[in-house]
This record gives sequence, C-alpha cells and structure tokens, in this order.
Amino acid sequence: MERRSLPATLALYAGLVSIALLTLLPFLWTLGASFRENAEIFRYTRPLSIWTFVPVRPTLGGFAYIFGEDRFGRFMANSFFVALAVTAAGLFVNSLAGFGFARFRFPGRDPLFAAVLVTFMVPLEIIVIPLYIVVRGFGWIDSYWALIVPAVADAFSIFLLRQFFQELPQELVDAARIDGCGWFGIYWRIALPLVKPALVTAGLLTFIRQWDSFFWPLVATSSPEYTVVQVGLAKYITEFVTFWDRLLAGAVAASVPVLVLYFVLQRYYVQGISTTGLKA
Amino acid sequence: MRAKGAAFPAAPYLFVAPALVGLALFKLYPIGVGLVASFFDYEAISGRKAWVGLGNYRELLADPLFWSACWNTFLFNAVVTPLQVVLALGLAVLVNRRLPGMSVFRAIFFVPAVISLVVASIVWDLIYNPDNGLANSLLAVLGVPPQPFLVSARQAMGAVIAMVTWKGVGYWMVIFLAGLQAIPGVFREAALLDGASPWQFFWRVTLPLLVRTIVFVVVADTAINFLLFAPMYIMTQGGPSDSTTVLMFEVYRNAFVYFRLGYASAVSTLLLAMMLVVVVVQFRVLRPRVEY
Repeated sequence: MERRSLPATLALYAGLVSIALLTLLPFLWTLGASFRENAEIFRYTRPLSIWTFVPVRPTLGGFAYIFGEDRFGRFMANSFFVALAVTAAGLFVNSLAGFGFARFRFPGRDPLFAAVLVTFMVPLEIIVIPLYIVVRGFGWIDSYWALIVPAVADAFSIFLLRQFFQELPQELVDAARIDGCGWFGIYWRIALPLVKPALVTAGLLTFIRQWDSFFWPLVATSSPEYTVVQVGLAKYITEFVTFWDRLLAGAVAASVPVLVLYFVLQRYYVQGISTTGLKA
Repeated sequence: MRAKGAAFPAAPYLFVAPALVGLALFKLYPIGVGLVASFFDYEAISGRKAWVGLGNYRELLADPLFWSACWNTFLFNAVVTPLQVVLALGLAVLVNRRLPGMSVFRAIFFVPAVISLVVASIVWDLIYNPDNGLANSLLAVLGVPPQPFLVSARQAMGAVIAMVTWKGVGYWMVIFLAGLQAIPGVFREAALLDGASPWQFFWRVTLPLLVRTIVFVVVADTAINFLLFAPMYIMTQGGPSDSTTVLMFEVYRNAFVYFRLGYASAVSTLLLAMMLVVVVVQFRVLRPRVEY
C-alpha cells in the first residue's frame, strides 16, 4: 500500500470512476441491447433513462438463435482453437527472433529487422492475392492450416519482445555464459522467465488479433466447419437487413472468452513480481 | 568453464531463422508481388495485366482526392497516435498500484480492446446517430443541443478519432503495464526515500526507463493507425464529402470496389514510404538515452 493523503486518493478514484464510466457506456448499451427484441433495440435511447441500458422486456432470443439455429458455438470454438495454436507457436518462434535481434550483433541484423518491421506496414488487402496463391500451393485452403501457419511469425510480437529482451542486463548473460550455459539455455532458462509480463502481453494481444481476424479467414476458408467467429458475426449483416439482436448477442458472446483470458492473466500486471533488477 | 556462444557465429541466425522463414513466405514475398503490381494496369474482368511503368503513380499524383486523402491520413494520425499513447501511458501509471479495486479498473479500461473493430464501429455508428443515438442523449443531459456527428463534414473526422481512441487506449495500456513491471520496485522506494514527489519520479525515473516500451508503442500504433480504415468504411464510407477518406480507404476502394489493383498497389506503396519516414524519425527521436 502507498502512503498518500485522503483527498488525493479520493480524487484518484473519482477520476478513475469517470473514465471507467465513459469507457463502459458503449459496451453497457451493447450488453443491454443484446437482450432486447429486434424492434426494441432503438426505442429507448432518447431521452436518457435507465431503460436506455436495461431491456424493458428482456429476451434471450438473439442468443437462442445464434447458438441454436446457427452454429455460433462452433464458430467460437474454431476461433479459440486457431487463436490458441497461433499464440502458442507464435510465442516460441517470435520470442526466439526477438531474443536474436536483441542480444546479438551480427552482419545483416539491422536490414533483417527493418524487413521484419516492413511486414506490418503493408495492408493485408494488398498482399491477399499472392498470399492466397502461396497458401494454395501448400494445399491448405479451407483448412485450419491456412488460418494458423501464415499468422505464426509476427512482426508485432518480435518487435515487442525484442524491446524487453534489450532491457535485460548484460551481466546476467555474461554470468550465464561463464557458467557454461549455451545460448539456447540462456534464452530458455534465464531470459524468458525474466520477460514474463511481456510474454503474457504478446500472447494476449496475439490471441486478440486472431480472435478479431476477419478478412483472411473469409478469403481462405469457405466450409462452415472452419468458419471463425468474426466471419460468423458478419453473416448477421446482410445487404438488405441487419439482424441486430443476433449481431449484438454474438458480439457480447464473442467478447466473453477474451475478457476471461484477460482476467486470468491480470496477475502478471501487478507491480511487485518483477525480479529483473540485477543491479538494484 | 567455456563460453559456447562466442565460438558459435551461426547462433544469432538460428534464433531469427524460424520467424524469418515464416515472414518471408507469408509476408515479404506477397508484399513484393503486391508492390510490383503498382507498375501494372489490371483489366477488371479478364485479369489481364499490362505494364504501365510509373503510370499509376502519375495518375495518382494528379488526383486531388489522393492529396485530400493524404491530408486526412496526416490529420487522423497526428491526433490519434499521440492521444492514444499519452492516455494509455497515463492510465497504465494510474492503475499500476496496489490499491483496492485496481484490478477492476484495469479490466474495465481493457474492455474496448476485446470488442472486434467491426462490431465497435457498428455500435458507435448507432451511438452517433443524430436522431436516436446515445451520444446526443448524453449531450441533452448536459444541456448541449443535438450534434450531427458523422453526417457533418466538420465533425465526422473528430467523431471517428474519438471512437478509435476509445477502442485503442486499453490495448496499448496493457503493453505499458508490462513495461512498468520491468522497472524494479526498489527504484521507487529509493526515489521516495530521497524525497522525490510522484510527479518527479514519473519524469525522472519511470519515463526514461520506459523508453523502449514507448518506442514500441509509438511505432506499432503508428503502423496500425496508418492502415486503419474499417471504422471509416463502416461509419462514414469516407464521407461526408470525402472528409474521412484516408489513404488506406483509397487502397481498399480501388482494390475491391473499382478492381484497380495496380492503382491500389501504388497508393499502398506511397503509404508504406510515408510510414517508413515517420517511423525512422520516431526511432531517431526516441533512442534510449539511459542504460541500466
């Protein structure tokens, strides 16, 4: 606990509560609307009242449709599997590269790192056709492979982890080398445990990016067995009509796994578990 | 005792190889093909292509819409990225404490990041509806007359910026939280013992030690915001009167609405060039000055 004056603490909480309310309002409205009938969704927004957020006649219709008539559970399971696979494989491959770029000087390092950065400055919209042709060459179209393998190596994670590996004191590496530790041992047994908050963050954000991915799965898969959650959601918006109850129920359902994941991982964001400070 | 690594010059390449092979196959090669397309003109129906050299670029530079899209891209990024970075850092520092309820605030601030961008754009489109949207209901409580938001060329960009900021702050906050974990707690205790105020501690200790995290967030946020167009596509279709048409929206529209792949690719190439200039400047300015 920190020592600070009561007024300062109260001001801190007041500020946090007002930011939290502003942040939550759109979500609360969505949450309430997901339990409304289609015709009721826009009826109570004005003037502002409790019924703007709380459904007047709550119904599970939207949820019943997407999980009953449609296969939204399957779509969520697909996304979960793909996101988990990409995250697990990605954390390994990208942390290796992040470590390589952070802890070594080698010919070609800077041009290679620049090439890594370029890969997340060109939009998928421009590379989607050549990418499709590459993936088709492997025979992966309309399979989990198409969704997982191309997403594993990822500049965002490499860059993030590189920044954190750079923070590690050189003395730590030198000491391990003197003790006869090989480079993989240094990476695996010393560096990785010390950047745990960054690993957790890279994993969480990779998971979210896969959970949110829409365009590539839409292009690369067509069977319902491989439909991912965002593609499933988009089906409730048609050219002629938007099924608001289904769309908003799906949006709420789709946000639950990521929120749960974040709650589980939150303990890595509490100050005090850090043991990085060698010199201190 | 022996130091294996020093005698093993291939080690660094082995570390970066798996990721680089993946990126080369699924990113760099398609990027090469995609950017070369900017020198061709594609026929929409047959897919036949013809070499036009710099023709697409010449046409682009002569198009007033390209220049207004450049300006909008600049405006959007010049506001959104600093706003997101400063707010994310501020919130991270605020909730990175051992006080009751902080885990709840950390969770709430992260909520916008778990809603997909498409859904968030649709919901905010409803919120901004001038007639029955939540935004005007809230303003009415404050006694402010109804605003047009997305249907006004003067307000649309601001409205999009507000939505994108809301969506992104929690996302970047998480990265700053991870960065704050890497700052040893003893630094704080030592500084407080020396009588430093929390404000001094933030400027003199936290910020310098967080430089590498800041570099990452600034560069990554810049790249993501330059490529963002789903909110504009869903909420405004680039309007009213092209006030929210950013370059990436032009890329999308030319590639998938007008089927002008070569032209879209030329826009994308120039967009990449702009980003590289911005990012190089960011790396130069934010070079870590403190080693510890």
